[in-house]
Amino acid sequence: MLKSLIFHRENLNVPVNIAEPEYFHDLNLDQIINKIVKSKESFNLTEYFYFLSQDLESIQFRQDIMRDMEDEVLYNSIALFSKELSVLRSTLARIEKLYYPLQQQCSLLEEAHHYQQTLKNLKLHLHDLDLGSRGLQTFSDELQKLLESNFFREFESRTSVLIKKLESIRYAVVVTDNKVTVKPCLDDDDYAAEILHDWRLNETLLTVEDNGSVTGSGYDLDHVQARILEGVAQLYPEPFQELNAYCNEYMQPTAPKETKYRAQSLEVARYPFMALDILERERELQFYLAYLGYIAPLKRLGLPFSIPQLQIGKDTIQAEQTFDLALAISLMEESSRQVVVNNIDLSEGEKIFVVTGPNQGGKTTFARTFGQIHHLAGLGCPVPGKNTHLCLCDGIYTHFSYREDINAGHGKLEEDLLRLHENLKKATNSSIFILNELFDSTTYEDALYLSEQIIHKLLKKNSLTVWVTFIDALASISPSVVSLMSMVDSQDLSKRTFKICRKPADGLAYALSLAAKYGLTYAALMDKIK
Amino acid sequence: MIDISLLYPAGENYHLDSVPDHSESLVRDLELSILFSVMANNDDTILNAVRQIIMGQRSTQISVINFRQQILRDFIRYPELLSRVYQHSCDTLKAYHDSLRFWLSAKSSSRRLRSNVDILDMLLDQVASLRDLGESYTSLDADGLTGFFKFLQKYYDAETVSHLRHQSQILRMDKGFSVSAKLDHIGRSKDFFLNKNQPGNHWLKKLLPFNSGGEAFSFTISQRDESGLTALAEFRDAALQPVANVMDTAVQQLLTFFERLRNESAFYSGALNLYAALERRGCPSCFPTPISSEKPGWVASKIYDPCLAFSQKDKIITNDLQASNKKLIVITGTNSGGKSTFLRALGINQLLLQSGIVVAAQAFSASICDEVYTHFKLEEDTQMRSGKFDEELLRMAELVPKLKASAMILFNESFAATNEREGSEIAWQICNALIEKEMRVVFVTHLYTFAQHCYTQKMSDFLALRAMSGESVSSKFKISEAKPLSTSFAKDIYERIFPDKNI
Repeated sequence: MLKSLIFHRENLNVPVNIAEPEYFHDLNLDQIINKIVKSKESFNLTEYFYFLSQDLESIQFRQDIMRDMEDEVLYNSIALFSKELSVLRSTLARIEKLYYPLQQQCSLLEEAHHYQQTLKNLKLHLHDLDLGSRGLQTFSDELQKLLESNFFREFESRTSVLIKKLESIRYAVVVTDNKVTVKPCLDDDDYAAEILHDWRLNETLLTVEDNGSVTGSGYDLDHVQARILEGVAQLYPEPFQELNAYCNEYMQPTAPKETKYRAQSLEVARYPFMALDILERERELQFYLAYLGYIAPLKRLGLPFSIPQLQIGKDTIQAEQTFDLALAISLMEESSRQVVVNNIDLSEGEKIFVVTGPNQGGKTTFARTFGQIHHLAGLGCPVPGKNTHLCLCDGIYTHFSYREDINAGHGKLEEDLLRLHENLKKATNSSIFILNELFDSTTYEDALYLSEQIIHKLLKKNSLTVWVTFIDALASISPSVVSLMSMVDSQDLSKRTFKICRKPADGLAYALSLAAKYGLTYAALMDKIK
Repeated sequence: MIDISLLYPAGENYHLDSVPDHSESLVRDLELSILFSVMANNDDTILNAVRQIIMGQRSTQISVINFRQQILRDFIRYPELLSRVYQHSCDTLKAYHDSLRFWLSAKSSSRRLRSNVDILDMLLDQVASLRDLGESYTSLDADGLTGFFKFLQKYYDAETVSHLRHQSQILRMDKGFSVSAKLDHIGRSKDFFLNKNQPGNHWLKKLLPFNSGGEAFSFTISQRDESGLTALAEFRDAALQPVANVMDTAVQQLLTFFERLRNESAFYSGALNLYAALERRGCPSCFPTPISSEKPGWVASKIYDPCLAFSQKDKIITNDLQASNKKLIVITGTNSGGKSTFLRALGINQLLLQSGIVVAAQAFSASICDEVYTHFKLEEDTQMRSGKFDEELLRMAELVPKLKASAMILFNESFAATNEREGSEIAWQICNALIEKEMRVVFVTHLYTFAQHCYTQKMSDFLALRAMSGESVSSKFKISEAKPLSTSFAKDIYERIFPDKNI
């Protein structure tokens, strides 16, 4: 029995059918996770991305697998493995619907071979790599055992013998008017090659379309092709009898099997030659493939990701060059621009970020980033940023006021406060609060008064907090509060840098720093131009 | 492969569609569309050819430039030869496209095979008559032209042409066909070989009777079995696809040859049109002298911007330039002093020189450059509310990865969207690096600090030019060697680039 690749112990499970966490929408995690999960719909992965485990050992178990899979070679081999199994699944579904038994048998033989090759290739790849994670090591060992089993060995050798026999058949087809004749082949030269030579044609320019198979798109045989196949079977009966026996043994689907998780990808275990264990592990591997696949284009752009150091009740929080994952993706896709990165840094004793500064300067993005990386870290995923030290949080609470709500009035305020009260009750010193433009819709005095009350409660709770606000006074209310500002361009005040810093900008000549940013200083150019 | 070309002596394969991605800004900054339309003289084929060849097929090899110049000289002597070659290739391609209308079902390879056989007949005729055209011109000087006709006489002599015709006849498959095959992974027939022994091939049939060979399995599709007939047609298409593909390639090869010939002759027609138009306008033109890129510099007499000559009626102002062994030219001086025009003249003529055709000057020699790049200040752009300076730097940064030794970069009022001191510093750092990397730079600027800095460095490969203000009519728009003058127009420019004060 192969072990799980999601939990380090057999008895741990992700609850089935859990709802999307409340904070997902505010943090734009819904955009991120929906996209990740959609790319792998048949595997039904949603819960894996919703559920924050409180078991540090399980998270580290996944982090180790992620670390292994960050290696491009391993990632690609597992992605290839999974892609091959997907193809196999859809091909088997098509084969079931085929009309001509001879064709069905030929096709099943081919898929059996495909399956064997897929497993063997994965084994070869895993064998070549230095796997650091317990999860993948076990997987690799169990895979090896499977491949060395008597069942698999016999299955494999029978498959390849049959394929060779069928492949070696060569026959001629002569068509005159409506009459088709199949007979043993007489002529081994291709007249087309002679023509190619006489016309001085460049072979490499030859347009090769679907290698001369019929119509290409259809999987079904028409009856001309089917009767040619029958003709071939009559001319060479022995291999076809053997094929029939082989299919009866390995390729007859049984009734659907019971599986722990309901996922379309597992249904194919009905075929006797398919190992359910392998399919289950393949499904779990999608968790890693999906996430790493999602962040891969950003990595290629040079954006940093790292596997965070996680501790319970940790006192310092750190993430260099981190960013909002959803924003980074949408900037890249819509305008191929790169997202601005920021540093997050809370030393011992510091608990609350108060972010002020001009609007549209990246404050909300910063706040979302803080929440996102903690959720992703809790899943065991690499997070945006370098040198990340985060806390294993037991809950993320978000309170976002959107500008559209500005006329919502008292009802809204009451609702906000009720929810705050509720969440503060639940929160611990391992919880995270993200407050964005809270109390925007009230007067300044009211907002100040309410904010002061709340911030003292948060300080008392010792919950990590990011608070985006226009109330400057909050920034200096306690030594545990860190003041951050969204920065503008020193020369062109209308221009946002999307940097969030502890201090206002220094007096550096903006033009030259801009030139340096574009690599246009003398030194940078001398270095860059070959 | 028919690897003969009128653009490259060794018949290189090139793609007319491939132009460097900075071409668009080159066309805009140098106002090349005027040049192209004069060369095209209302012929869209010529327009496309001159545009693509001037933008994408300039050469950095002196031998290639001379090869083209020779051909152009022959065509100037025998313009009717050029127009016959051009017309002949246009007619051939038109005949091909007309024939396409009659076989819509390109999917069916058996039908495609038939149409190809017909088209090949036509194309072979056209090749033969092109070959014969060469025989009427015996005193051609250009290696490119004599080589071209020799090639046709060698590879498409009467005997070869008739053999090819015969072969394509066999492929009509009027009496059915015979192929050999294998089973593919789902039991279909694949890997079709065309047997040389075909049912319609009577003389072969006598030697190898068709129904000999023992065991066989036959079936007949009834005339009423519609789906069966469709399936048979599909099988026929699949079986004949490889040979249909071969014949597609045969057609494609001849078409490629005619397309290339059409484009190349269109290009020379454009060059001839340019030559004639300059003559009509009373402007000097000449065959320029390309110089190795190891000796950077320009020498020109009566050089001018041909696009300006065609877009206005005034007497054209020409300039002389002595800049051998110079890598950096900085041009200062008053507004509307002809600085940009002069900059464009240098750029356009460099393009013409490396295209291998005549240039707009009485005499012109210049070193070969890897590429020509422009960095011009943008005209007011309503979309850009701010970040103009940023945009300038970004455009420069985008150029950097493309730059190589011997590239030529034309700057027009660049880096002026910030204050003068900062702009100068950046311009200096950039130019300094480009020059050290063996590039050639021409910089039109109002950045006095920058220009002065270049001047006081006393670099041997630096030349300072200044546009004279209208002190006298004769000196108007004249550019001459002179050190930069300090004036305070930087403010004007700055305010022009930033019209709305709120930013």
